[in-house]
Amino acid sequence: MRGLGIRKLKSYLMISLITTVSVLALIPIFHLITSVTLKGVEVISRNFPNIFFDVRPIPGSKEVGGIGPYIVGTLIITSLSIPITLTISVLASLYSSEALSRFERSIGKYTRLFTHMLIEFPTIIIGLTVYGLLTSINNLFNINIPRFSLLAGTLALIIIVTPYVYSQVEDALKSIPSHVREAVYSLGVTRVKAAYILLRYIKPALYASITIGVFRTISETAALLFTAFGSDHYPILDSQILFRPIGTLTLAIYNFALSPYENWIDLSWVAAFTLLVMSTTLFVISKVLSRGR
Amino acid sequence: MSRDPIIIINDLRVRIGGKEILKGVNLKVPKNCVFTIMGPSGSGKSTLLRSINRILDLYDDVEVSGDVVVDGVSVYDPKTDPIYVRRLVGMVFQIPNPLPHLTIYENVALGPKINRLVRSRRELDELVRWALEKAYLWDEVKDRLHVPAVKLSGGQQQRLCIARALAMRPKVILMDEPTSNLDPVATSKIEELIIELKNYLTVVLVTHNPFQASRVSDYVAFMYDGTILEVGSVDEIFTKPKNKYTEMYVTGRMG
Amino acid sequence: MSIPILMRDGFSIVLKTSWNPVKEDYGILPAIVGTIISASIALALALVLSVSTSVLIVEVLPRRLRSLAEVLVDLAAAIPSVIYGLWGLYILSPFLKEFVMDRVVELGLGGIFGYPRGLGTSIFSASILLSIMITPFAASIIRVGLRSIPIHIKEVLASLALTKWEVIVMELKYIRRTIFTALAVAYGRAVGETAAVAMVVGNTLTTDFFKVFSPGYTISSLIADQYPNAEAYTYMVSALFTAGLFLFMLSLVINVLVMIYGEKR
Repeated sequence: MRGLGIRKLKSYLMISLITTVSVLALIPIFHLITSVTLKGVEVISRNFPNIFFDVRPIPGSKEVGGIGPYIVGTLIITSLSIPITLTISVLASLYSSEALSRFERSIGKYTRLFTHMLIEFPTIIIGLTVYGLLTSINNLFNINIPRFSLLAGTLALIIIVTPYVYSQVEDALKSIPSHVREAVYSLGVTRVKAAYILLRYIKPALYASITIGVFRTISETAALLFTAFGSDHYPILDSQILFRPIGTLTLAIYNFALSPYENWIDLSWVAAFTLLVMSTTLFVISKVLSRGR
Repeated sequence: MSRDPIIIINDLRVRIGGKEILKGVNLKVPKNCVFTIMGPSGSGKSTLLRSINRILDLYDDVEVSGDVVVDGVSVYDPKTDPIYVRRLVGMVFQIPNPLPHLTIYENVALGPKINRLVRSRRELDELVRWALEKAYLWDEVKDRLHVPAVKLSGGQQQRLCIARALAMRPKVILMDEPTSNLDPVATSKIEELIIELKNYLTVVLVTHNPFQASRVSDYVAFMYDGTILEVGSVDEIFTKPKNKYTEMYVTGRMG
Repeated sequence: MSIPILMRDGFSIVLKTSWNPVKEDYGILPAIVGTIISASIALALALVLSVSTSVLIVEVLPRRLRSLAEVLVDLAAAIPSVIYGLWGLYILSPFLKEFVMDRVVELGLGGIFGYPRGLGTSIFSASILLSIMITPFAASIIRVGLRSIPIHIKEVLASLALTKWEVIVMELKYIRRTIFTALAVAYGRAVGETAAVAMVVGNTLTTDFFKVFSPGYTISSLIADQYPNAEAYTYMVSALFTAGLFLFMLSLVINVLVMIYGEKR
């Protein structure tokens, strides 16, 4: 057995090496989760529970303040964009996966291709595009849609999140076994009715894709910088709300972290912890939902 | 069985995921013959084959008791290295599975190269040629040794897999239904090859096809529900089976 | 939107290194170089890290630990990038400054790598943070690839008397297209990542833009950092859009490469 000892030793050493390297890769993740939690909880304990309702404190003061407006902003922009995202995704995926003619199938194919590319595009580009689009519309019609607004932010989020939800829903529709699909269509129902039955069939996957959509929406930062822009006041619920800038948790983390004031940086950790709890919860829910399949 | 056994299986029991697949198998395989394990699907013949070269180690939740001795080496002795066993015992699978990212040459050369069976490039070339000749493939591929193996037809791919196993110079070669995915012409070529191989090694063949068993074997074991019901020479099994299930199987009334 | 400045300056904007809004003088070369350097360092590290974790999870760990490690890696991929940015700014960068960058500078190599400042925000910190961020993402694709290797291929590798490590190497070669896809997509993420990078890269335009320990810019962080005052100048919005256009084309190229050479998905 020439060289078998050496080969086995090499195998053992290399496997030890990749184990070590993997542990090295996981340490930062552990560290991030613990440090965000520790720092976040520490600051929250200084002004609990008001920290979730108060507004930004006077910079550099001893005040702790709170992140109320940003939580509300995130909730508003999410509840505004998700229903639209979901509607577009479901309709588009039904169209492409339940295509009946060659024409419909080719439209579906291009939608899929486009979606895959859109998912991989940097979100800041989408933010820029929305900004540029609104500028062009304003110039063209000589009107003044505010570019730093809830409207622009919602639009950007819809463009960013729809491809994710679409591909999730489409995968789920495609994974329906063909005997189920054949059974549904053989009932002699209309296409709309058949689509409704198929959607009910993939209900858990549908919930999972909503979870993923919400997760994507609340974690987005880059595209919101020059669309939603950010605001430090509670949004006023009136007819003009769509046309005013709005703050979100992600924008708060970003802006506070880069500020020179210690009490604002502290709030950045609080917002980060809050967002981490929200996204981890969604992560767990989507895991549980997709396990049920 | 007059000849010395090369494989001895003693009370082999295998449980996979808590389910008993082999329920105490005893078997002696003589040297330089074609020994066929025949039986309906689900009888455990594939598992039995995989326990001989410890490929079973790749699966989760496997418990083995009893032992297999190959050429004097106790396969399940904790001191025995499975890699050593796999040097002695080659294997050919149900699906022709040349490594798709390698060329014809590389597929055959891989095992000997990594196991350092050769000292030079020339020796390796010779070994590859020898293996391909023995697998009746050399004439068909000698001009395109460096094209991807997946360019070959299904039957050629399976003969390439046999060449790949032969290049390791094993004492035993295990074949798990090697023709079940092939057309009749390719099948008969491989059957011819199997008969030829016993001149220099021992073939353990698994098949669910009694006709194939009768065409190529010297000895046949009939397996049913995790046990060997009957072993004998090919004539004994096909002309005067003692067990009524064996008789039903070879006459086509079961399986 | 990029047209005004392209009409004025032509494509020299992508070759100039100066950025002086008062004189309406804009060059985005430092940002382009910063993007490519940071994403490339991140990719090199992520290659090693993601292949290792995937192999560990699929081929080495026993079943119980396997799912735990898997959940952790997936969770890491689900943490919003702005949180990575915060952690990178106040924990990773100072750590790298103290234990890596300052040590290297002590060896007298500051002339090559540049000198870290403040919290240690630099192209280097951005690279390390990016590698941590894209690893879980690439690992999840590679893991699926490793899992999809048919059992008969694993069996044949074992039957040829290969050691565990030799089997792993062959398996990695077998899924090399998947690994390429994973890394190309991860590179695309690294190139376009904005929030986290803008927080740790230092956001400074210097002529020393190829020195990795010095603060710098990437295309996306340039846009994120400069947009608030862009409208005060005549050509700055247009310059930022040109930077965005360049980024768009970069990720288009990566996407097309994935489509041509990558595994068919």
